[in-house]
Amino acid sequence: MVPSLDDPKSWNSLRGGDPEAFERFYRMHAARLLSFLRRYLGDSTAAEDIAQEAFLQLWQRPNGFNPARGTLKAYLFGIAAKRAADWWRHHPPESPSAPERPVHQGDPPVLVANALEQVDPDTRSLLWLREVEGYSYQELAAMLEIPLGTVKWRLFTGREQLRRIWKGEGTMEDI
Amino acid sequence: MNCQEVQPMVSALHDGETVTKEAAEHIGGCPTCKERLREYAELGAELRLLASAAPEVVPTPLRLLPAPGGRWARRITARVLVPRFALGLGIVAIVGLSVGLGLMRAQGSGLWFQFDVTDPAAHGSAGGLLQAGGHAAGHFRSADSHEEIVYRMKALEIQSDFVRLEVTARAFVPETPGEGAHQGAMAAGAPPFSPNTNQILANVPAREIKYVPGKSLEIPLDGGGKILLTGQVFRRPPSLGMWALPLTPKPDEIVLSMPALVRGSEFLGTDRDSARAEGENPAIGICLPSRVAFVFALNPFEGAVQGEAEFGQAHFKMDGQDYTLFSATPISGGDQPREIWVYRAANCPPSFRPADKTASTIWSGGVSWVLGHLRN
Repeated sequence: MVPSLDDPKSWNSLRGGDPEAFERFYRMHAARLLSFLRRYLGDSTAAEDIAQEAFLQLWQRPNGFNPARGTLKAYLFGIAAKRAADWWRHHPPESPSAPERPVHQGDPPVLVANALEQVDPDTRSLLWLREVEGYSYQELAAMLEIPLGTVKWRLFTGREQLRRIWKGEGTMEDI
Repeated sequence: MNCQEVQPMVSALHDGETVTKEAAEHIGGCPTCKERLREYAELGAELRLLASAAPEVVPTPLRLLPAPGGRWARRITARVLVPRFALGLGIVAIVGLSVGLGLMRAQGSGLWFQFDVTDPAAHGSAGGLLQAGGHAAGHFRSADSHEEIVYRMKALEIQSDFVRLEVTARAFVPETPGEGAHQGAMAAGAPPFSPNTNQILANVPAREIKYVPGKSLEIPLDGGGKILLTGQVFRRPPSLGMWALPLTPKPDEIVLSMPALVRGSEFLGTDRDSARAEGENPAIGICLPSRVAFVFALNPFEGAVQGEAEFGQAHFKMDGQDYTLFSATPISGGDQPREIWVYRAANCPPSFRPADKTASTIWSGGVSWVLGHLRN
């Protein structure tokens, strides 16, 4: 079993510039981080670049991590999520607040992958971090630097948006 | 409460958060809301399956880092993201802090201020949504587990770049844990706070503060300590009623909400219903599609093995294999983790076998009563 860098001894190794400790951390989390970023950005090259930048930031400035605020992995995902959000600011989607294709009540259900592409990137990111990566509300609030209540509210609206597209039930405005 | 008002709490319940008593009662008796909870679970499971089924992601080696022994050039094998027991994980309950979101409808149609107050060590938090003139009140555990923070807040003015608030807050030690002030928020014009909150805050002076949305602001507490305020201002009013009052089971109460059972990484089955029991040795039985039955109880009984329950999950071992029980709400109250006792019967009681061979059945009561059905 690969030791977790979230145990204090391993974390101290990484903070001390131990490349082997960092390699272990990279091996454990790079694939999942990249999977998240690809889904968030829809651009493989950008996803890989941002994953690299996130790991490099952690390597170059490890003291930005505060163990009291969550795990090292959550911190890594938080760095990546913020960089990905910046990327979207410079590459805005054509219609940032609306699905690519309007969804109306009575539309046939769609695959969840297709439905996911139709929700806005930040919602996609938050749902992925919650449902796939399993981060708690508190961890999400710390990672994304938003209030807990906002996490809860955005998860609800995002989940409902995704569900409606998935089930072909129309948009939130149809309520 | 109606379905629309309860919707956000269905989402929170899916995430393992506690919800208000009123919401729990509504959801428990409402087929539409139960179906929504099931759909959220299914959607979550689909997302995890999507992650698992995606082509294996092999990131390129890190650039610019030292390469001891050329190891960075080695291809990295992606790990399997999650076990594939679809619905089971969909209802995993991760119950963290009892984050209550007091939602308030105020008169008028101005800006909305959504806030959270926490203690700096983040042992507890509470939050709400206010319009100008509205009040909210709440309580949560402080870093000192014996203390609770009680606060009330009035929004004097809400602008896009600042919010003026009147805040009254203090730390206190409740006589009986959990019997402090009740969190809640009420419409402007209604009596804004429960007598209990008013009593606790009777001699505490109110502070007027100016808050910049998006920032963290420390607010000193009367008698020492401080709380941290964060929040954001929104233009669009949510179309909701109110929600508050974290609900947790009592220490002598067992609850299973949409339970799912997993052995190792094998999904054994789930039940879309919920069951609860309380008393001397409350128990819940579940008959799985495989026709194997399990009985879960809070105290030891003959033939049962000991396991450990923590909020929405319980772990136990039988015949050398690890089992995990998931519930969409905390399995029991009191200190966590706590003991749970599990018994397995090779056959479901005939009267509880559903006609649909993919379905399961759940029943509850005193352990003797629950076990009695297994012998019929």
